[in-house]
Amino acid sequence: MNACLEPAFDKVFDTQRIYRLMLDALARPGKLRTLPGLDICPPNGLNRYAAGLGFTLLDSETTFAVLPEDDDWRDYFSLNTGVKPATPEAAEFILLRGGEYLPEIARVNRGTLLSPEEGSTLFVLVDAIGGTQPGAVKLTLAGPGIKELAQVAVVGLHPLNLAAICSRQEYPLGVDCFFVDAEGIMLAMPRSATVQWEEVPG
Amino acid sequence: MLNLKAIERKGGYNFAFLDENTKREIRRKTLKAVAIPGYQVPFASPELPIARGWGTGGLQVTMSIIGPDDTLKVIDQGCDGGVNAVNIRKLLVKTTGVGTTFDTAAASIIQTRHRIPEEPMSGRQILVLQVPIPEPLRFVEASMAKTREMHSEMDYSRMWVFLYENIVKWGEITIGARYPSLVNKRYLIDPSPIPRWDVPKLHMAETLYLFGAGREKRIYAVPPHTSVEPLEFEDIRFRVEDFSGKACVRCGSDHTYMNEIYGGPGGGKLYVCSDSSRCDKLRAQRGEAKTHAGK
Repeated sequence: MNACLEPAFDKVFDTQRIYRLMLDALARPGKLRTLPGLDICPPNGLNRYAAGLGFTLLDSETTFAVLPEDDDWRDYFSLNTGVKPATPEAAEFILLRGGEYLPEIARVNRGTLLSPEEGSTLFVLVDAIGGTQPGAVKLTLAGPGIKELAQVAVVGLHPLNLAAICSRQEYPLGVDCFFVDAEGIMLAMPRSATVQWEEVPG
Repeated sequence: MLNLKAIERKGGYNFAFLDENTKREIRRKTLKAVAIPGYQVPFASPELPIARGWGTGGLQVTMSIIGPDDTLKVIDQGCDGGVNAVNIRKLLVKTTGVGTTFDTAAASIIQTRHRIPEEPMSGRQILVLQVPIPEPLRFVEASMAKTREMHSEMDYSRMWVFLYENIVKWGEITIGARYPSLVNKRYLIDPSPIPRWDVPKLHMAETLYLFGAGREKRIYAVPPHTSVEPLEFEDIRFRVEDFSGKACVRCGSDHTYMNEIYGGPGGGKLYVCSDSSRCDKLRAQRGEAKTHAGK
């Protein structure tokens, strides 16, 4: 195991301020929030902002999966939070690389009508949120928390992943997503949002 | 830049009293509550230094969201000086050290028992409501297993019959506080015992509303810009309390929710604002001496 402990992460105050940003983002889908820079060193390819989201919500009472499978990433979260690894079908939290096509998304847990809250929470790593580079996916969101419509472009999100996420939504069943980019910009897309998207031509 | 490491733990307790595992569980459940507006999410609801049924649900939600730079306001039936508000404020201040205010506009978190402040709230604020009975269907069904099923199937027919029978028997719907309302056209909620006067404030608001029921172990939410419709019939509409022709004896306001008290000349009725902070503000604007909050 190559993962290292992160003593610099403050479990009281770092989690509190990250949680408040997540709560605000989820209550207002489409609103961009900037996550605080943390003095931590996650394994290769994992950005520290997404690691911060995991540290905020995961513990030994929760289950977790990484897509595509990555032992370093999984061990890093297990060591620092005590979270239990699970299959993508069963995991309560899933961290995934948004740019790679991941057919497993079509099978993630979306809860039951008696317990819709059991639907997974996805942390989706993307390259950039906001801006309109060629190849970006332009999202148009409507629903609770949004005054009329919210529009935002996401770079580094495979359209098939987005389609798979939307295919899991059958309100009140569904999954709730937090997109995080390399600069720490966060965007939330709860199951209550209706989503339309188009690709910005390259 | 706020130096988080320099902040001391307050009073020998962890920040905001609860241990981090408990906070994390409440946070996970609160996020799901926001993602499914109006759905009651079960949570563990551990013991607190305040007995269940005295605001522990709201208190736990507040403890899970509050941070060192928040400004807190706590009200009990609209009043900052009510005994429940004072005790909850003291516990939170002792364990967090946050600043407090009576001014609705200056607060970032407001915890409330049974009122929504009269002054419009902004998108930067969160209102936490204490809930004694989270289940709107309790009027018609005692079993929680059964009501859970009814919510899952959006089967609210027995509630409609209950309201109809009310009208047949009494000529109108007799539910005052706790008026059943449909959130996001999907889940029926008990908006906590706020008067009917406050129910329209939930609809398409700027503010996030979080509901915590400690004894009943449920958290639910109404996000901003979410439809909240009180149940009504086409011919018998929902209406709020009627204060026409009455005015507050302290501030003179005739468009706030008022408490009826006996104490006028000859034992007559007097009316006084339920929201003490707004009442004090109006008096101050009129140049009268500002009194301490209280009814």
